[in-house]
Amino acid sequence: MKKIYMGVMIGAFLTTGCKKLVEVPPPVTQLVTSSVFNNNYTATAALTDIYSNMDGESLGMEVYTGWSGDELIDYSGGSGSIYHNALTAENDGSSLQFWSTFYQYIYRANAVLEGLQGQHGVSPSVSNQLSGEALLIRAFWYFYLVNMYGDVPLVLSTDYNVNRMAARVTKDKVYEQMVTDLNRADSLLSSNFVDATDTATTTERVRPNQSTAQALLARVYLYKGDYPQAEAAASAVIADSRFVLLSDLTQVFLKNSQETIWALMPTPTTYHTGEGGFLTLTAAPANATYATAFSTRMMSAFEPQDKRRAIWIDSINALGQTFYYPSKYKADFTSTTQTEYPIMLRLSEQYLIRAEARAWQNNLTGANSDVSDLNAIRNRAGLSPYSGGTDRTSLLNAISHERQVELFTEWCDRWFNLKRTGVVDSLMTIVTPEKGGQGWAPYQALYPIKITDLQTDPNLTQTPGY
Amino acid sequence: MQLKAFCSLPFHARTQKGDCLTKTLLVMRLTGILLVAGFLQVGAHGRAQTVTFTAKDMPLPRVFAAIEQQTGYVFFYDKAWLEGTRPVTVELKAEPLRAALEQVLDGQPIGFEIREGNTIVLTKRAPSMIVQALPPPGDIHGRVTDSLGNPLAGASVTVKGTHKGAQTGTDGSFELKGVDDQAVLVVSFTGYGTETIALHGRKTLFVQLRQGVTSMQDVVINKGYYTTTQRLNTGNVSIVKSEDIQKQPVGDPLMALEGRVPGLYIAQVSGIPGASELVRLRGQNSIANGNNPLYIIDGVPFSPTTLTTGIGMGALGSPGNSPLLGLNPFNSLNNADIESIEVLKDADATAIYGSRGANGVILITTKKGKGGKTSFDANVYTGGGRATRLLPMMNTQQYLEMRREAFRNDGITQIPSNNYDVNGVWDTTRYTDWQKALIGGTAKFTNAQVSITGGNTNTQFVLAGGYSSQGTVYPGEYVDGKSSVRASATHMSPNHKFHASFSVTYTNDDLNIPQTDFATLITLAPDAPAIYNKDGSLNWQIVNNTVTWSNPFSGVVKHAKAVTDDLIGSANLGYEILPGLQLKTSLGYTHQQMNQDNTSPSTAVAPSFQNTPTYRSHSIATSDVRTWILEPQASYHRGIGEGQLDALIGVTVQQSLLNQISLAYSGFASDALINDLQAASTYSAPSIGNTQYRYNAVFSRLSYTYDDRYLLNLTARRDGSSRFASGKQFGNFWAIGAGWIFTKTKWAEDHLHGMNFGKLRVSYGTTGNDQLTDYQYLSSYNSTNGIYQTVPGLTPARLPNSNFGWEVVQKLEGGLETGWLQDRIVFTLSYYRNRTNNQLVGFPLPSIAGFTSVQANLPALVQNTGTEFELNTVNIRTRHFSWTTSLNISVPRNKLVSYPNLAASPYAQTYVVGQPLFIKFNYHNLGVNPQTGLWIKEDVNHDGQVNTANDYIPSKSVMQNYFGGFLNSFSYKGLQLDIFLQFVRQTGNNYLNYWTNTRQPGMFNINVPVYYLARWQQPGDQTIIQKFSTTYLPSPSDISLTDASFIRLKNLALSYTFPKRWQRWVRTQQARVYVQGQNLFIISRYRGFDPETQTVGLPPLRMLTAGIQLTW
Repeated sequence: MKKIYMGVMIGAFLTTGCKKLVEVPPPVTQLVTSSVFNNNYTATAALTDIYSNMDGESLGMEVYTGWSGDELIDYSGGSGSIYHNALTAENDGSSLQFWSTFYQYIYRANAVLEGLQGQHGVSPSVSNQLSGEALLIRAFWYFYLVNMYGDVPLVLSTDYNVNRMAARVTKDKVYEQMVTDLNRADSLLSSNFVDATDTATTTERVRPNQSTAQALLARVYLYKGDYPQAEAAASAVIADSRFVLLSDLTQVFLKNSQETIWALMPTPTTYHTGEGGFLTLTAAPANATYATAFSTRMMSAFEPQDKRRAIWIDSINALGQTFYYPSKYKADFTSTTQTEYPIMLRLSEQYLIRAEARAWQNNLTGANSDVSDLNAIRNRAGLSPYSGGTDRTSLLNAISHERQVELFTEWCDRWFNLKRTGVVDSLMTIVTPEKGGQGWAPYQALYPIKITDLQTDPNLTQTPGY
Repeated sequence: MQLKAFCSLPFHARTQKGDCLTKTLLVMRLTGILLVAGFLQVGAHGRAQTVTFTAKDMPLPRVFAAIEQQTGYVFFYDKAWLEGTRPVTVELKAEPLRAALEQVLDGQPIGFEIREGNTIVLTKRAPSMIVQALPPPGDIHGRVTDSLGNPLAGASVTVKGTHKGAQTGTDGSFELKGVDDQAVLVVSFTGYGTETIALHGRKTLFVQLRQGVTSMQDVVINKGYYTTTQRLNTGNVSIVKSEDIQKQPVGDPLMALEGRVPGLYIAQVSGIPGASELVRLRGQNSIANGNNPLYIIDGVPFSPTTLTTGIGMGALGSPGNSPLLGLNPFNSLNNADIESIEVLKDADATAIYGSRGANGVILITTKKGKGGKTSFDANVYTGGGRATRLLPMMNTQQYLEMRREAFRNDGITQIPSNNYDVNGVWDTTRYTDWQKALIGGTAKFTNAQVSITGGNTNTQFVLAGGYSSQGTVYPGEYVDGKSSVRASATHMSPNHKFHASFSVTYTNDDLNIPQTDFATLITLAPDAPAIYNKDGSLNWQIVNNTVTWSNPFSGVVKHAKAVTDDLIGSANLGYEILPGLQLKTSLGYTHQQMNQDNTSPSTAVAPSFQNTPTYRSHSIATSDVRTWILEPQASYHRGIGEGQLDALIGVTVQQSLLNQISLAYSGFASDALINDLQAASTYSAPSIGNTQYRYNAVFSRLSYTYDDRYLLNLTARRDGSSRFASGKQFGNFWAIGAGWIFTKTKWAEDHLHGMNFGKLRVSYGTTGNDQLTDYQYLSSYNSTNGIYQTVPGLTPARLPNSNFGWEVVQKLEGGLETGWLQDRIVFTLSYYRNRTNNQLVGFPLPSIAGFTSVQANLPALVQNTGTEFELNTVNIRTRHFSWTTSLNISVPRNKLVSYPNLAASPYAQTYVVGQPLFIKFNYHNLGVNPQTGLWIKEDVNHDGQVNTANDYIPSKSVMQNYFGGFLNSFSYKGLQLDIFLQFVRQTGNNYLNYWTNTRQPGMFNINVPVYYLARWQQPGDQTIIQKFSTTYLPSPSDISLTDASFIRLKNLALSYTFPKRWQRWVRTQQARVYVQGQNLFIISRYRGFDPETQTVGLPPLRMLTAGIQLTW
């Protein structure tokens, strides 16, 4: 007995303070960061999971910006402040999750970029593709940040010690960064649509490639006002034979349609798009999850013969009233086969970008002009060629109107264009009271941010006016 | 031979404390409660054959003189015989004369004879007589009797600091071999007091134990790795005994501590079975990390963290979803198994727990076998609970008026079509009291416990089993059933060198509760439709194919179930390898496993959806945690000079493994298939978790007690924890505690009349806090549910930081402990100051950082100070009647002492230097504008705008100013009555905090308390409640913080023990019947549900039970 005890005691004392006894292996349910970027498969998982998260993001953005502007009516009753253009920092800054969500995507893109720097076990071609996609993701979300919030902090690393003190930088600087990132992405990305191996070509248009970078560049240049570059980038995409303006409007939003420049692949395979699932009305909108339908203003914007009104919009009669809702995506929860993917970028926007870029460069009419691009879109919608004034202002207005009826409820296009083209104040001064709001003030074109963000970052300021 | 007589003076000289017949009336004013206590004298001694005195190095003649004085006996002896005698050191307490003389003359070359005529004749002792009278060196003989001199058989005599011990035989005698000359013996017997006697070289002892009077100072204190007595304790430890726990019909043992321990604040967060409590021992030390005490059950750490997974525990919420945190792990402990709960508070008591001791330590000791005749005990009680203190809600008329007024105020004449409650779709003449309908039931409570205990001198055992079941006040079939079995054995080898104890407890808890707390649905419109249709089916009030309400009774088919299995096993082995040196090992293993099952059939949704498979769901989850601990130790005890030295050194190796997985199934073709998971069309794994915690330490203690008067206790620990990155894992913690028993001085004896015990103690030391999530330093990715192009996703788990280290708490404590009139009054006072720096926080980050927090140390200093006051009095004690009172009051204070550059920190609008951590920032509400009817928020900086940057200011602190408990116990013959009041003075959130913008009165079809009737109605109205409206109005801001103080009749226990002669008929040893009540009533001005929970949720239940206990 005595000897056993002495043995136990001495043994125990010797082992004490031994580091081994307090070191634990990483949890089996987690993967240490260095091993994530040690092989192609897990590195790809770290990047493509960002897309899984982004899937469905567009729905809330479209509905909220649709309410902010003149596109949609809010029937939810409770959350009237965004619809009435009456957001306040106290009540709504915290409820709008866009700011934090977009920066989470940016963080994850930065984490992939950092993981692929220096020594790692990912093959060079895969590393290039993944880095290029990460840069594109970062640029994509910065575009939405500046258009919702104006000047925003430019976060380019995962170092929280730097990021927690970041201040807003000017919109111009953020646009510069988008251009830099997208040009780098263009040089790194494959020219093809790739599959999960990041190198082999596939028919699934769910991973960005060089054309995606060009298409996003075209949009960024347009918003920046760099028209020659916008035209060049859009032309590069339009010239690509993989992308076709489909004459059958019912085909446009189907998965991997030829108009798709980039789409996301929803998971699981029984799932479709948020828009198809939630915006399709089966009863009066007040009872729907996203209690919304088109405004009269929106519906009256269509010319009578416009096929888009017939094919991309549907309606329901309820409570003795007709409610119109977006129907670009048609698959709802009852569909079991996956027929539609949420489209991130599509070809017709490139035509409209180029049309506008050409207008600003005074290439107004004739072949390869503003009007020819505009008519490409009108023609596809079953409308006669443009017949209005051929001065630049008239043409710009025509393009703006065409965007409204072509790109409605797609990625906030209407709201952003109202602001970009400078008509927001004059329009909303009329629209806000129509919607039942108290009135419009220019600062309301941008959204407030969370108070907790202000409290946690001493250098961060609230959106001016709030 | 010349005989000389020393004649005594008449007896008068010193009046002994115990011998004066006095009647004292004390009037004490205690927090407004007048307490009148009459003190009656008990047990007077005549000038009799007993001797009481203390001598230190006193020459024999003086000793004889003293004995003559007390007894009237006269000594006769030859002076020459005194040559060669030693001065005497002796402590005699009412010793019979013969015993006293034996002790005085022990080891002296003198014998004695007591003769008739009150004479004592001393004799020169013949060698042969000495042999007979004296045991061999090192062996102690003695006898234990009660105060009347009757032998006590089966009393325990142990050598302090060792495991050497003996039990007395039928004649009350005992023998101990090989005992150190300077050892201290502890003599105790159930139902009698405990005596601690220093041998000082004596070989023979006569010990008298007083019945029923357990001296407060002799209570044995368990300090985890070692024990001491209240008298010699240098730290602050409170004990709650099993009697007090079992008088309370509550679900878990922590609830039974509410109000009973100074410094320990416990608040229930809900009345749902299995709900957790908020437990704060001496305030909040850590800004963001765990503030839980360390819980240890029989030496094995017990995790207070819920095993509830991400799928949630229905109405009990899910982890992190404050304040409901899921199923409380303490719910699976059986209160009846607990012998005592010790609460360790200061550095002296907690530093030996090192990095885990920051927030104090709560030691739970389970019952051990008692030995002796095998006895069988059965205890059964049953009763019911009801929701107490309901909210006065508006009736239909008031409610409709509110809704219509809101529309009127906004100029809305056409009430929108979906406002069914007020636009005529619903029958506006209906009235349902939703509180009655939803939480108005009676929760049935049944508890049955049986145990067998027995054994002999060397081996004791206890076997116990129990079952309890607690219903709910909700509609529907919900119940919490708990079964447990327990076995415990203790053994000591006949030579007392080896001892072993072993205990194992297995508990099964089967909880079935609703998925939503029905109490949160009491805000339903009072004119809401009928619950059931005439045919008995649920009424969905379908109008124009639209379901117009969410029937709350649809929830009764939804269940959140959890089956928890708990195994706690522990073993202690010890061997004394050399006199005073003992090697010991404690081993423990716990395994808690919980299986969750949440089911929602489609009958819970409106008929139009009932054929949609996606509305049928079933989530399951399994989580289990296994902890093992090994603690080899060596302890050493010896007397040095006038003192006693105790030393201890030991090692801890501990590991915990946690595994969790949850799966969600849905899309069942029929409700009948909902338990057949294979029938689900879709499933997903919402969460999976695996963590490992390793902990390793060396600890030591060195204690020296000089002359039972000066006490010194040093403890130290070196700790390593896997929760920190390499290089930050180890930390050192230590404490020093000192005590001075000042009543042992001559000055005190001369001046402090009436005070029989007085001790001053002080301690200082450090402890640490490692209560943070595992792996926070690790940069890693988690897998996600997403699959993209066949690749399952990975997402960053956290922002890693490998530089954080311990949170250190420096604890300072001073205490005064006094006993008066032979402990008729015991009064203790403690003051503490805990300072925590190096705060380990989930440092909040702006969302632009990608994550909203990162684990980091913060250079902030948080201070908790407090005063704790405890008074125990025996007000009346006669042969048949006694009345005792216990009062404890704690006055905690909390302060953020420093925070470098607070203004630029993330906490700029959370904390204020110099203010408590509980401060709340808010706008200051200046009241209702009489013209507009809207609340006015103060424009603090007068810039014309009210905004968060400038006008969001610190208002009140949501915390306790003081709290405590007040217990009065009465006993008359077999009757025993305990009345326990709990009181809390605090600031809290009132009803306004619940009906803020999201539930704004008048805006939705949500009912509100009648307090809102005081709203503004027309210009000129002066009121505190703003107008009703259907648009968003200002929030109540700081007026939602009000006084939430209360006094609660927490417990009332009345029992009757049948007299012995009755019990002979039914052959029981003891038969007892009782009634017990919990939360019987509350006195409070608080407006809201319950001032303790401060939310709209099920308040703690009022329980009333009756039971019977039989012992054979």
